[in-house]
Amino acid sequence: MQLNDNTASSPVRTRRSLISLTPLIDVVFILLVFFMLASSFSAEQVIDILAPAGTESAPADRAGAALVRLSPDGGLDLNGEPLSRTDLAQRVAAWSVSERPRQYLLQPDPGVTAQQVVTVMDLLKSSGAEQVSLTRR
Amino acid sequence: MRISPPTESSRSELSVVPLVNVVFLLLVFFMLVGQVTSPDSLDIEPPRSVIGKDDPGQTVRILLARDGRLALERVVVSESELSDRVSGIVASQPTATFQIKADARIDAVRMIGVMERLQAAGVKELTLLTEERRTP
Repeated sequence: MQLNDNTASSPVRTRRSLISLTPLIDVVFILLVFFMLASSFSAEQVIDILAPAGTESAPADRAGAALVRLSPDGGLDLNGEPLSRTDLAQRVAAWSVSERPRQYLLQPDPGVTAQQVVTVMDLLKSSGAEQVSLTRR
Repeated sequence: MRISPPTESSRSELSVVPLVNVVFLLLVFFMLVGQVTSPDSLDIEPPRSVIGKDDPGQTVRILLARDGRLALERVVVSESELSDRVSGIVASQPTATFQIKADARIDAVRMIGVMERLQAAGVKELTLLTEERRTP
């Protein structure tokens, strides 16, 4: 009898545990799909364009600022002098040590994309420019 | 020789448990790492930058899509509506900060035009949303 009881109970137990596992897996899969679709992984960051009061670039401040122009083909010029990317970075780095202007006005020509502007802002800021303002013609 | 049916069922259970483990791990990963956010009203791919700072949040967001459409938070607006609504927000909450989420491929002159429009509407603090670029 005992032997019979054993053999009868074990299949029943496994079957019951299987039945309770399946809805769980369903729910977990649904949750998984929800989180996979709904979550975003982009690391969003910000760049200051207009700083809070005091540091805002007023027209009077712009008089001493250096003008960096950017053309759609990626050409750069600093105060009218065409420069390569590396030359511009070196110039800005040298100026940031001396007492030359640390403010830069970035003027993109029509056709320049926002990404190109942000890339040049990256270059200026990481070379030591303290303030970069955007302007249009 | 009559043992085969139970081993079959126990084998199928054995193959399910590791699956459940993996699925749970994936679930926990997506819950912890991903941020559940409502999608923007316009499809925008922000420019990539190395100088970006962490997003402080709690800002009024202005969207500028590649096709030139503007949106304030979730509502698509025209340029003049944008000015009106932004000056309304500035009047009611003087400390509000604003954020532009512009598409990376949009003409920069247009983006600066929107920035100047916002400044003219009284915005004192404005940031440009970027995506982190991992330096090689």
